[in-house]
Amino acid sequence: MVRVRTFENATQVLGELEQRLMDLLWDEQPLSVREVKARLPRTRLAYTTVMTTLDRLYKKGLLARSKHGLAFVYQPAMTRGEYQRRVVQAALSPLLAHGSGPVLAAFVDVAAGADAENLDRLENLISIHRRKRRGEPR
Amino acid sequence: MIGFTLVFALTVVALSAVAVVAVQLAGGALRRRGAHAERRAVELAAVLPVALGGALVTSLVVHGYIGEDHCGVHDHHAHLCVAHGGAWAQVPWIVAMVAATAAALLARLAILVSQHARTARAVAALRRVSAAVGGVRVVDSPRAFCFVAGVWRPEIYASTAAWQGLADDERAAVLAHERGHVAHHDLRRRLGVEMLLAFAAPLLGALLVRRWARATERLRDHDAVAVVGDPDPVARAMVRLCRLDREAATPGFAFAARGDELAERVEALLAGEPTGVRAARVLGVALAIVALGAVALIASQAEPLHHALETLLG
Repeated sequence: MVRVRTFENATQVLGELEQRLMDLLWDEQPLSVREVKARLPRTRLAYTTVMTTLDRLYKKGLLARSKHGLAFVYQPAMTRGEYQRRVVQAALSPLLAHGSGPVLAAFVDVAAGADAENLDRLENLISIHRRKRRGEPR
Repeated sequence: MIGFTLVFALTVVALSAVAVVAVQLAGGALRRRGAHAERRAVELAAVLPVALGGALVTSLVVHGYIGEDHCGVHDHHAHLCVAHGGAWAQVPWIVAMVAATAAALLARLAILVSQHARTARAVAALRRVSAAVGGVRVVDSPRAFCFVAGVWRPEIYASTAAWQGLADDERAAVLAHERGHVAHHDLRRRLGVEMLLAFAAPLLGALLVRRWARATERLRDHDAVAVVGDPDPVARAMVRLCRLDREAATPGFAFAARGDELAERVEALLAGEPTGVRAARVLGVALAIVALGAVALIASQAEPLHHALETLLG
């Protein structure tokens, strides 16, 4: 049975090895720990390192796993595209909620406050200004 | 040491409160003078109290070394001098006041650091899933946004929704605005202002930071107009981005309500608000002269000031 945990902390940046393993599993799945290790031929990673990293990714909700005989086989819990969308959404949420924080300067941080009526009025103002500059009648 | 710390803290807190109230009261006049002047006033209101507090304490310390030894003359209160500074530690209300002030300052700085760290983490995650396109990190998102992030290595981030939804001239205007933030190190400057205003009363300090941010945005709008040669695309880009984002935003995932800011910026652009460079310079020179005068007065009156403070605190 495939168990999937929730992907709660999308803003958590993946480490280099975690990212490599995710890329590997997005390209080919499902894979056991031994198969993953075999597909990383130029690295001197211990079997236990690969196993721990896969377990960590599973606990982060990025991988699903099922038991095949005595060993677990792993597969991504979401597609690469879905992962990226979730990272963007989770990262944007605090950024946009806090507006222009100390390390952020937004071009406009006004969306919720600018109601449709206000936007219509401003557009009208811009168009009057443009016509005035061009010398056209209002 | 405790005595000097208390003098510094009380001076900075009192002067910060006066400076913040003065800037708030002069807000309308400063706005009419231009964004540069408004921003400079906030920066001076942040810097001068700390500078004058520092000057006062320095003058007292120097006086303690070179002034006449008065410690034997009167012993009815603790002495504000280098040799007998430890006596203040035996006055409970003074110790409590220094501790409370230090705790409040540290708490505000800790909030600032944690806010900074949280934003930096989110930006790092966003960076990983963005693609660099012509100096901009483009993020695939239905939300319409464009911002600069990073205090030490600022980068421009824009969403695909914003990039695809804006016309060419509007995109150029947004880019020019954001490049202005990068070129003028606005995020670093803002952090400095926020740290200095941590000495001011919390709500008053936040009001000034908000004023500084709004003035800075109007300044960068001016930069954008200078690059694209017309206020029209800059104003249009602001309204267009808001419209695009209103369409994409879902409840619980939206910016704080600041519609008045948008109107303020668009109207300032179309009305040809002055940048206020000259007014900022005049304000800077005038306040520098006043501050130098105050420092000279503090230095020349170190003796009576020192006694007055001892009597006041002891």
